Amino acid sequence: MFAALVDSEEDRSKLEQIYIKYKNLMYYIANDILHNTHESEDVVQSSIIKIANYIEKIDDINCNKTKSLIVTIVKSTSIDIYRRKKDKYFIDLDEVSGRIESDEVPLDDVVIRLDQAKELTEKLSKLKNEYANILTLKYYHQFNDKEIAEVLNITNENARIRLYRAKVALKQLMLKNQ
Amino acid sequence: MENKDQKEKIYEEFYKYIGSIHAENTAREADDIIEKSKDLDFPEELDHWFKGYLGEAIKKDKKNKFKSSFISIAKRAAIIFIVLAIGGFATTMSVEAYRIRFFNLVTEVTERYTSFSLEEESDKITSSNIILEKSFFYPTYIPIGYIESDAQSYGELRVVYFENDNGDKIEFLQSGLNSDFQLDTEDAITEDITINGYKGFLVSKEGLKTLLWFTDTNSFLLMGKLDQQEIVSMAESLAFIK
Repeated sequence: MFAALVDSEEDRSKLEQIYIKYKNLMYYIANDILHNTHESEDVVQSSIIKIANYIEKIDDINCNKTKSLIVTIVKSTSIDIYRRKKDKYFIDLDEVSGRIESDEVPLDDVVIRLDQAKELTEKLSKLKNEYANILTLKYYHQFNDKEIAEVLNITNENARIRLYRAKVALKQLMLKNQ
Repeated sequence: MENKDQKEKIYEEFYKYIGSIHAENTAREADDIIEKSKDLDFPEELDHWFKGYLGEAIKKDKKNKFKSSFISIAKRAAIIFIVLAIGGFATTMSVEAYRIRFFNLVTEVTERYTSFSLEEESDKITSSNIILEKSFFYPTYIPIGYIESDAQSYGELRVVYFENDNGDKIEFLQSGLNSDFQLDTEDAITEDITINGYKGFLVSKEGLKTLLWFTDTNSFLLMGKLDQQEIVSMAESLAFIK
């Protein structure tokens, strides 16, 4: 495992605080998915290295934004190991390359109602948590496609496709709500 | 076009809002797990790994900082050489030459720093940097409370760091005779000093002492928050390690 880009004392201190505060959380999530202590340790290590890569994006280690990012990273890393172990022929719909005309999904024909946002988010997360995760990484955490791909262990192209499908799914939920 | 951009901005803000709600939900889930996992039997190996991982990062950082400061010193030395070559002595307040065995030590005192370099007398010997290739000098006296915390080599340059429990550091640098040094002497007290019969310079500034001296084969620098007696004792205690 290489030492990532934690090249300032401030960043190292931040990473250390994150490790101390969230190590149990990370290990618990990994073990809950993998039921294997050695693999769970690998997940915590890989996750810490990933977090180190984005340490400059983290301002407050206690805020919801940071907690959400840590959970997303640990879950994605665990699921990636689980899938590789469980079924090497596993194919996610999002992993299948497909052409998309545009990154944007026009919302002209739907009414954006902020009072329904909470309900829509929960429905989207229930439909497919990965869709809610990718929208969060892209628009709330402001990650670019390459960073999203690294966090979610998918290719840049698949990140783009998944993001597009997440928007389509959200739009369909909005249409149903009208 | 403007209309399209505005629409995209609205969509982006909407997605961002959805993202913030999802992050809030995920954080709530995280809080529940943190509560549940309070008494978790966490593997000690992971703590060891993390300690080592941070240690590696610190080492890399130190290496990079040292490399960049060394490059910066070398660049400044090169600039001074060019200034001297074209006869630009305007900023030089005084230039003195001390004879050190087969070398002339040239100190150049400017308003902000003092540079030290060695000029070899052409018909005498060539510098014997070979000594550093396989062996090195090490202080046999180290001030109480300090222990070696790191050591690095860059070509003929070797640096050893000592650190005490308060985080105070002593830096011990040894090199051949090809290195030039610039010490920050602005508002500092400087004095000539003798280390085992060799000429040295002690610079004191804001509690920090820097001692630079040259022997027939090597140049040495010691730097730390020490009193004069301690830094001199450390310098005089150097032993040749094979």
